[in-house]
Amino acid sequence: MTQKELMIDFFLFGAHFGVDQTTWPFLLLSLIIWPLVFLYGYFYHKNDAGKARIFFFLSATFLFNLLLVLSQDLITFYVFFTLMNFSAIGLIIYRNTDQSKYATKVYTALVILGELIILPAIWLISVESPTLLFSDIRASLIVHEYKLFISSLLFFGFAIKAGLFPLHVWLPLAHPVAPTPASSVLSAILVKAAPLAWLQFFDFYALELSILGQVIIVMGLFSSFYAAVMGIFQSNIKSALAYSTVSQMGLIISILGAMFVFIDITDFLTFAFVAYVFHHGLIKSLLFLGDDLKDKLNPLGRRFFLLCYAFLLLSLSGVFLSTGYFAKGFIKVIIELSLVESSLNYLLYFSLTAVTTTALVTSIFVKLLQYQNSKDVAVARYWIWVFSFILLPLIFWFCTPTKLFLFIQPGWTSFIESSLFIALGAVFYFVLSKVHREIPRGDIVILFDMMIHFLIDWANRVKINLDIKSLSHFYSYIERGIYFRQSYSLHKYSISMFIIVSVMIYLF
Amino acid sequence: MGGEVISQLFFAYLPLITVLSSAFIAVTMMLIPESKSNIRSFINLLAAVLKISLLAIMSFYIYRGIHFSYSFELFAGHHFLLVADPLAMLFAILSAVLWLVTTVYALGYLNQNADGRRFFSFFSLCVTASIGVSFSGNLITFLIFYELLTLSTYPLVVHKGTDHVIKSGSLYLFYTLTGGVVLMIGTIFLASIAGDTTFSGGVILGDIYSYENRSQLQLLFWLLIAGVGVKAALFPFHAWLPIAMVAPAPVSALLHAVAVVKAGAFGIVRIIYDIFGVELFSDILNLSLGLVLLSSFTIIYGSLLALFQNDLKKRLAYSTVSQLSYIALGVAMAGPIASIGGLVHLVHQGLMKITLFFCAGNYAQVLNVKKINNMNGLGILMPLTSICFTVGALGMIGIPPIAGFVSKWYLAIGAIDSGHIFVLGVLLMSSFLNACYFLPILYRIWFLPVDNLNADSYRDKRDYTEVKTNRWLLLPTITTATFSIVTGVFASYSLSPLSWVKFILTEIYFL
Repeated sequence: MTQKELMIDFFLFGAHFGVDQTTWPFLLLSLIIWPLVFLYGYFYHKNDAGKARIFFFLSATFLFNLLLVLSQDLITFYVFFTLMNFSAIGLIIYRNTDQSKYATKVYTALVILGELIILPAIWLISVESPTLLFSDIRASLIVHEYKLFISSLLFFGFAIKAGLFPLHVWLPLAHPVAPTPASSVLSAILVKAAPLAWLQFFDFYALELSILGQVIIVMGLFSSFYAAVMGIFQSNIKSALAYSTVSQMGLIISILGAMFVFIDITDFLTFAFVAYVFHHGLIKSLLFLGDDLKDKLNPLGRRFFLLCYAFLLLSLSGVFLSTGYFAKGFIKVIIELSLVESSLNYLLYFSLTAVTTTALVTSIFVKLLQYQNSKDVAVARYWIWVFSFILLPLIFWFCTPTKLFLFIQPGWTSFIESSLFIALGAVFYFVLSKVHREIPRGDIVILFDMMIHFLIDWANRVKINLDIKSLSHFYSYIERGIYFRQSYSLHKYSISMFIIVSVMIYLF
Repeated sequence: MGGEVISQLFFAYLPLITVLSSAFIAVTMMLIPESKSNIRSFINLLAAVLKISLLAIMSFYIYRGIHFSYSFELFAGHHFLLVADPLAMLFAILSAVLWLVTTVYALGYLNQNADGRRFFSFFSLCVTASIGVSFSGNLITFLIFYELLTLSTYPLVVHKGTDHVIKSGSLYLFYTLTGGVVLMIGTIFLASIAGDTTFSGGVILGDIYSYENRSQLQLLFWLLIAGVGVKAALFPFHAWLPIAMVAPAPVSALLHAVAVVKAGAFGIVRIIYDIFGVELFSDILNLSLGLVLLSSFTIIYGSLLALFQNDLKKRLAYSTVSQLSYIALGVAMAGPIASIGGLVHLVHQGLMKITLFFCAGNYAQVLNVKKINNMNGLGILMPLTSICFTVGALGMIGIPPIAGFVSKWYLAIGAIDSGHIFVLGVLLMSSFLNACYFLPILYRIWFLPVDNLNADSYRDKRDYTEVKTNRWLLLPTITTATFSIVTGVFASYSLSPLSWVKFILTEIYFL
């Protein structure tokens, strides 16, 4: 791939745009998903009163996303990252219900938090770097005095976007309230800005930050397991899908950690990492769009749709010959090549995520089955979906570097292995489904809410007029019974949370 | 102050002409009868445009290394000295451009109100003073215009003339005049030890420096800073700024977001660069850290107080207190990059804050909304104004690519570069607090429905859509909001404030 560069002197501090080996899959992903979303959105929003507004924000997000992927210097990247995040607010608030307002508030607060974490990091690097080009930034981060501190800031700042526990709360809140095309974009494109950022900033091999890598692996895997379990207890398909995104992103984050730790295989792992991100983006966009079709099909169409949807769901857990099977396969095979002993340990947990993922996707499928056939069939949307269902995996075949496929020989052993994990996952789901419990969207967001509430309470006591009341809707949500089901109490929630968390700690 | 100096013919008089042109307008305004508002508007706008053109011509020559200078002797070897150097042009152009914009705004704002004659007369006098402040070539000239600025703003602050306003006005006068007296004592002090108060880039004080008069010079510095610090709203001299918010919107916008407060900030810049010189200031007298700490404290303190205000203009005023100290902070850190951040914030803060004040004025004028808890749903009622407000507010937080981001970037990089790492914490804290007091307003504007409690006051104005908002009010608001974005997005363009600031600093830091 030849490198093309465009430089605009007068824009910001001098902007560089271009594509290189690491960024082109992200560019490709954007160029595939966005047209699909616009096409689907055209039919989805056909009768909406506010469709001008949603298309304005979709276009803005698209533009900024595209420029973000193309940015080859730090400032331009950061600027478009911020602009993309802010224009996504327009997608989340669109329905203007109480829930979407709440989601917007949480999202905005986390965006600002992310900015505040990322800013000091980029300030500290850019002082040392001769230019703001990423190639120089990477080089100067390696020799920077505080490289551990800066790398941690960069990791955690962008991890908010990627939905790492405990800052994943915006995903399950935002996805159900956003219109379907928008939530498809949120999951397939926006969260992928974080892996892109990490690849741009870190030179994993030369950084030698295996401590940070270990922390990342643990946090990523924990996030992956945790979100999968939380997703099973959701009542809404889109919030369950959002949890699945959190879970998958957790897995992606753990691969990032592996790139820090197992530095002898980092080069290969980078390809596999990008391939995994690519696979997840393709599949997740289809899964979200499919949620819209669940009750808009005739019996025949619905049967075919469910079949396709099941395959997509299972490809998240890596069913034989799906994109997930290959994406996961690449990573497993490459990690086996590592000479570091603990890599096998990591591999075990990595494979185990297939169990929780399968449990989650099973629960999603079961929820999907509850919907009925419909008389007014969304024909155009259905065919767009089916067409993309066939096309998107093909793109994955053609665009993944051939050398990765050389690692994998699909055979009986791998078939049995993948099927085994899926069977285990299904069992896990049926065990968990006996627990008739529902966890509110955004699980631990309630803790943040309570903190803000206590702050306001304190301010009122000392007679300070704090105008941040509008940040918290905690009590009003309880009063209106939106946030909590009536049968549900904080007490029960804490106990179930405690059990889940302790099981996970034990697992580690 | 390097560069070739032109002191012949027409060119030498350019600074004087620029300053006096507004004074001339001030007199003309007095002569035009109250009823002839059209002529008044026309002359005002024409004068503002002419002044910008004059400044544009001057900066063209200055960019090529030619400095303008004009002087005559006042008394005992002290001169009235006007010099147009790059730094002077920065403040002069900012004042002149924003003067034009604010004149347009004031024409819309004072449409039906009485006393337009008095208002525009003193308004022009203020501009005379602020252009004079920027062109002052020595501390005595600076002092003259500085006092003129104080006196000419007083009638504008008390323009509404109610009891409450008069009372606040006296407090304003008390603060600023005290500051003026302190600055005068400082000037006499300087004149007595140095004999010459010319802005010499620190050469004069550098020559007379010896270990014996070290503490004397330090005292002098703090005396001068206290004098200009009142207008620059440095803690603990900031209390007048929120009080002065009783003034009409255009006055708050131009004077208390830009002209008066910037005259103070500009004074700090002059004192550090041209009286003490960077070397004496930071390396020899070790004054840097003290001023950095003071301005850092003011930044946080102003933001914290802003959080507790329910009056929109008061919240903006405290935000101004906080933002102004960015300028002092940038200059005080005494490094080239930090200075870029400080100086460019002089322009950027002016653009963003004037936008916010214009919007506050629009809300007050059109819907009579002055309190923040009444601002619910304004985005639907007044979308264009609200978009401009959003731009200004996000810029203040430092969201790219709006201008505020550029200044914060240079301040932060400069802080690391000059070894003041804790300033990063101050900047982050300030951004966070900015978000805390601006985002709830934006949330109210865009996402909350129009409040039932306030519905009564809106009811008769429900059909008062944005289109019907006076264009004279809307046009300046949109212009400054656009400028705030453009100066940020095209920060590296050769005509941007950032490039000009870099040009100024090539002379001071020999970059």
